[in-house]
Amino acid sequence: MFLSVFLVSCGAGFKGQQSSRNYWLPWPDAQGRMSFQWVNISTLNEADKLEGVAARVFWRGGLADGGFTGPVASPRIASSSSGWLPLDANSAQLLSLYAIFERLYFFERDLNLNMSLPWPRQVGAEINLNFKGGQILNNAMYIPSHGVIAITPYTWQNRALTLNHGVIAHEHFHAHFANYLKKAGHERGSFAKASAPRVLAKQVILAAWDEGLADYYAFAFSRRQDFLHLSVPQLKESRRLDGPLYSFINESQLVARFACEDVEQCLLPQRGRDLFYYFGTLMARVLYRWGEELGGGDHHPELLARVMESMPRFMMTFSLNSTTESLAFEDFLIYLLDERKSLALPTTLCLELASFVTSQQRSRLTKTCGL
Amino acid sequence: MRLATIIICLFFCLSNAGYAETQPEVRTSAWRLGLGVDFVSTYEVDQVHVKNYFSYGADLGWHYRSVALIGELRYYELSDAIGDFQTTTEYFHFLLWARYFREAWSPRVMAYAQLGVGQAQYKVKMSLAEENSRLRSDWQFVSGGGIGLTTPLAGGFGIDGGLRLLQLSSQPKPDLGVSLSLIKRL
Repeated sequence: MFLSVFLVSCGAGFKGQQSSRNYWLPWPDAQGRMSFQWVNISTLNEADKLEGVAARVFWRGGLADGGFTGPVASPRIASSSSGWLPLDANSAQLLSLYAIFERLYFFERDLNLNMSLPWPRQVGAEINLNFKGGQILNNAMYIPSHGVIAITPYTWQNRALTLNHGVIAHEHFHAHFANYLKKAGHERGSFAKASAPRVLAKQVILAAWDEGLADYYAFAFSRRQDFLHLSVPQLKESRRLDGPLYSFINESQLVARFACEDVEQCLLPQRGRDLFYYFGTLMARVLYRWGEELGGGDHHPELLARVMESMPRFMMTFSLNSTTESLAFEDFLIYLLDERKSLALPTTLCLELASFVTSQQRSRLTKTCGL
Repeated sequence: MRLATIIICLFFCLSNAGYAETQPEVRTSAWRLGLGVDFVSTYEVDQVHVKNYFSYGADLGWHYRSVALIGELRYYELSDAIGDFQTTTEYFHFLLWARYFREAWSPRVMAYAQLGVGQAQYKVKMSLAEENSRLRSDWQFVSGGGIGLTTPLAGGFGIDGGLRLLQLSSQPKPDLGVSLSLIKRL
């Protein structure tokens, strides 16, 4: 009898059809402030297995062609009168990760965006990745070759990346951008392959759009302008979306930066990699200001949806490998304004922006703004 | 810590009622009191990696010939943190074990097999920056099985050690424990 009781008790009460369940998790309120709440998750197939229509969550898995290896994460949970309690920090962070993806799934469904990516998404926490012989820590990245988001171990004392809704949303957007590139026939490739300065410059512009739009997507989803600094405090001022605007770089200046023989040298900080974050943030700040001028709040997701509809079409308008055709950071903004006449850029913002672009772009911009 | 102090005091107070007989404890009917520690191995959230910890407890049992009924209390506390998010989980269980003894290779060493059922509860404390929470789980059904050896020492004391599996209704796989208890015949 004891044996049968023992066997029957194994896993009792966890299986069954997908249903709505509450989990006690650290979660943001409407203002983005974190507190402990009962968080409803409605798309998990089983209460203790992080697999559903929104995501498949892994923990410390390896990477193979099809994505992460190893079993889907099973959080340690116990029932309580109001829902399920995670029994350790790992279980809570993994449940939170799934819940964020479920919110992203609904967010995109409500904006009619989620048809472009395959769901469920794959995400792994505490994934061990190495770069140049060292372990990557405190980082999250979308890996286009595998179509997954990998979050590396977090060793700082700030907000874990797995609990940071903005960071997860930011990485998720990169999947969209990779999809746009693929559909437009662009090969992002490595910077090292881009031998011509003009091609390398275009790669940096592309990366800046990717980072900038990812930041704006993250804001529109998480409603926090400073989502990144919660986990990475050193980026508090440089990446916040409500920071000041500054000048876009002149295309010839950008090309000049890449007129070097050693591509690795070109990609030194402030010459390459940091540039696309620098101009990406500028792009995100323009969109943020634009959304605020439209009225803020739900205008941001609406603006984001229009941006995400226009970007794939814009991708078709240029060739990445052309050494004669020019491309500039602000080209997409002008294209967006041209295509979306209903989303008029407010005059004050248009004039402010015009002061930061080259004279050639200034006339295009003011004309597009109807000034 | 307070719980451990109370259990240790209780153990030594009651042990004064014992008698010195270096005989296998199960040869006569008797009460026993035990203090034990378990080295427990459980699966992490990927069901691949293993997490180990110690649990502590006390038991009170009654032997009659080759069988015994033992009531056991167990406790552990585990803390964990990722960035500014911390959890501390306290665990309590009460199990009733039914144990069957057979003489092993020596008359002084008895082998046993046991099955148990009981209830367990978790108390989960969480903190994130300046936010704190503390919640209790429902009582969970817990069952277990195990094998072990016991042998008497001087002064009515004895040693009891073994392997056991504990399955909580809330967990997908059982925990494996290596237990060691100091027991006292009363």
